[in-house]
Amino acid sequence: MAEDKKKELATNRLLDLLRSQGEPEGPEGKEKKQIAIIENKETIQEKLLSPEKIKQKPESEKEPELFDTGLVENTVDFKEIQPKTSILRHLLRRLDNRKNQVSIFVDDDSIFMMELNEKANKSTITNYKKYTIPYPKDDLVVNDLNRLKKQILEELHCKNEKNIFCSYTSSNLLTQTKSLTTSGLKNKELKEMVLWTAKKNLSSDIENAVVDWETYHQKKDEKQTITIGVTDAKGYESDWETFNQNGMSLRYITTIPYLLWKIYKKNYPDRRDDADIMIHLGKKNTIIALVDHSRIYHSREIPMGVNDFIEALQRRIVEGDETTQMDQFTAEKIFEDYGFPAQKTGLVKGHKIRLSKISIHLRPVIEKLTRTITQSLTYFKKENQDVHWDKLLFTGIGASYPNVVKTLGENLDIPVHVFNPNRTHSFEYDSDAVVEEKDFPGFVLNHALFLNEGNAVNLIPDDRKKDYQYHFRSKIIYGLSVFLTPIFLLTSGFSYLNTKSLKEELNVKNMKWISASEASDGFFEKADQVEIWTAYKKMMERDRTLSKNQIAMMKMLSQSIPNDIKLTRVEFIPIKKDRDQSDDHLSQQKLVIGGFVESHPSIADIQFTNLLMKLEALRMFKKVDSEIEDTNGQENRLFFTIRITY
Amino acid sequence: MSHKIKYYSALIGLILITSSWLWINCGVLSQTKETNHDKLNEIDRRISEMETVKNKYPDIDSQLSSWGDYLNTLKLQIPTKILYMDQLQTIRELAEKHQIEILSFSPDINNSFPAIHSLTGSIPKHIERYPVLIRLFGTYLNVGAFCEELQEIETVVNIGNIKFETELSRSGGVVCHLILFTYMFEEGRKLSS
Repeated sequence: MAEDKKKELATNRLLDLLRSQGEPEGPEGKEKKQIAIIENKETIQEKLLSPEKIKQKPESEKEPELFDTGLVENTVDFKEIQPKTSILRHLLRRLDNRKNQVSIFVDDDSIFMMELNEKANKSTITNYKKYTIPYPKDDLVVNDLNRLKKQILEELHCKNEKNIFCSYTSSNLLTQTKSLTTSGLKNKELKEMVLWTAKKNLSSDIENAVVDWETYHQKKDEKQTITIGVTDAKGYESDWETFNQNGMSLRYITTIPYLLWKIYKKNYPDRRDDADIMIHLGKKNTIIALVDHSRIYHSREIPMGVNDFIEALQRRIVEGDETTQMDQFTAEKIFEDYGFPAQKTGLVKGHKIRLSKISIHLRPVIEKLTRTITQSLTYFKKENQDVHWDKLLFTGIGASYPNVVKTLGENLDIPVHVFNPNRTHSFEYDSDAVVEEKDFPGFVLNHALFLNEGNAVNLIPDDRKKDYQYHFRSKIIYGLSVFLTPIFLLTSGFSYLNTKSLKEELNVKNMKWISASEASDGFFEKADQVEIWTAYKKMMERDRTLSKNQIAMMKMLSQSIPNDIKLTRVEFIPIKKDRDQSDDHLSQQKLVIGGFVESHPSIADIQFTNLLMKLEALRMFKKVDSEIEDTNGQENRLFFTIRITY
Repeated sequence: MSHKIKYYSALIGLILITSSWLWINCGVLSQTKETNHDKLNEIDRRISEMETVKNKYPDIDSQLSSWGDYLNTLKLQIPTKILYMDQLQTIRELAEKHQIEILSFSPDINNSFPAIHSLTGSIPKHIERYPVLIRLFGTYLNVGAFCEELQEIETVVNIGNIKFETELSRSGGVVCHLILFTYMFEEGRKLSS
């Protein structure tokens, strides 16, 4: 056993020597040796417990700076970039039940949670926290990611009684993001094309796929860009259940490249005509995306991330005769504290490991990552020769470790920046939730998840999405009801009071009328009766007059007609003046007399003329008309008709 | 409950509230208000009318009293429903007396007086006029005498229209188409139109 141990130690030393090959043996190298000697003499405990000794430490032994703030783009370079405050936008968001929002980003075994509160004219981040398993909770330790999610949601649910708008993304989700450029497609054609592209790109069954897309026109004349997001619904089924069980409405799920593009657009309004490379350095994956304002040109996922650095640190480290084998927790802690150590001298706090050893162990990972990124950039360049970029923007937990981004930048020989998700001051932070610069990279996607409005690519199932659309509409209806109901009640109340007062006035007037009517002793009824009787009397008198007139006319005819004239027809015809005067026509009549003169033609005319003269001489009639008719072969008869109007 | 159900419930609620409001304000209350306004105007008109005719109260009483006398007289001259048939019989007998042949005798059952009652509703006493269409055959002079005597009988009968014709099939006289106005006195019955 002892021999085996010796062999192992020798092998490790050899490996360390191989790793340190190519390291310059300058003055730093000499210092390393000196430090090694000093460290052998003093224990770590002594170093930690003796503040005087720390003060007396030489420059080379000082703790390295943990986070290079100079790399974070926390300043706005363009004065024009002002936070846009739209009260309407905030109001609409509140109507859509987005007053309290939570964004959750799962990166391997870590959960990044951020809370946002929508106020009248601003969005304020009220809380943010990173959870990593194993997560200590009370006396227990949560080792399961799903359990941890449940734990977080339970805490959130207890804190906020009402439903919270939850947005979610995860590096564990199987997703695809594609951008296409098309022109003049109708909605149906567009949908067909999107589904076809989704089917082509998603490895899982299309039946379980959730597809959504966003179209973008930078200028009116330009072609439209379609950004498609696809995911496998089965991938977040358990997450969905967890959210539902905890009374949370999971309303937005999307892909990481899409979020990178969105947050880039939001924070770089000053780079409308340029492209940049976004690199999301996650725990197990790294996503590289070439983006500009109109589209995501390419996005690639590299199976390398922070975990590779951690694993590198977990390999045995040989210091002199001692071999150190770190567990995951210690490796994570060291990587978190020192990242890729900028300083090559000094010891890791609490361990007998030199920082140069850490560098030696991490360098292969950095170099591999550099190579992979270079390959991707070369590919991007080859595919899009017209597109130029001048910097790399880093996000993700990997970018928050000290000196990692800087080292990658040096290796790639391209300017690099740690992405600032609040470059345009879109969000405000509560005093107790001011995100520190070193936390920015890890929470970039949480910030991006809050930009979940408009035609965002949302990968929740269609039926739920439609259902949530109804939520907004129902809020509008509720709002209208709340606004209209008091108006309705008031106007109805006024109207009712008005009608009531009118009715009371009517009652008063009616009483007045009744009393006046009693005083008149039925005057109007009596007057009506008198009027009717007067009408009856007039009608009867008229009938009598008419009757008498007709008899008088008959008498007149019997006296006036000579024997030679024979009457064949006597008829009284009422003269109808007007239909409305229904009975008045009876007062005026026309007498029509028909007959013949039975004499020789030579004297018949004379006799007939005598008759007419006789009638006219009576001066009783208004008009006397006569007409001689054809003799019909009877030469001794003169046929006539006389019309008398009286 | 899904948001869709919530939305449609809220929408239906809003529609119900709005339609109820419209129905109450633009329907019921508006109509009531309009009716009350009309009634109020009518009462105002009547009250003002009453003010103007206040001094005519005694006149109307005396007029009604004189009408009462006139009606009593008229009641003797115009038969009631029961005596109406007697009047028709009298007309027939008078025609016979004047040697006139009655070819047809058709009393009309419709009141031919204009519908005065529509102005005031019902009145306790009124007169109805029923035309009787008669076709006679006789000499011109006999018919004339018949008509003249008709006016002299106790009950009132008037001649509405006379038409004489000669017919070739009949000699020795003329055919007379006569419309007589007979009257009926009605008491306590609502007027028929």
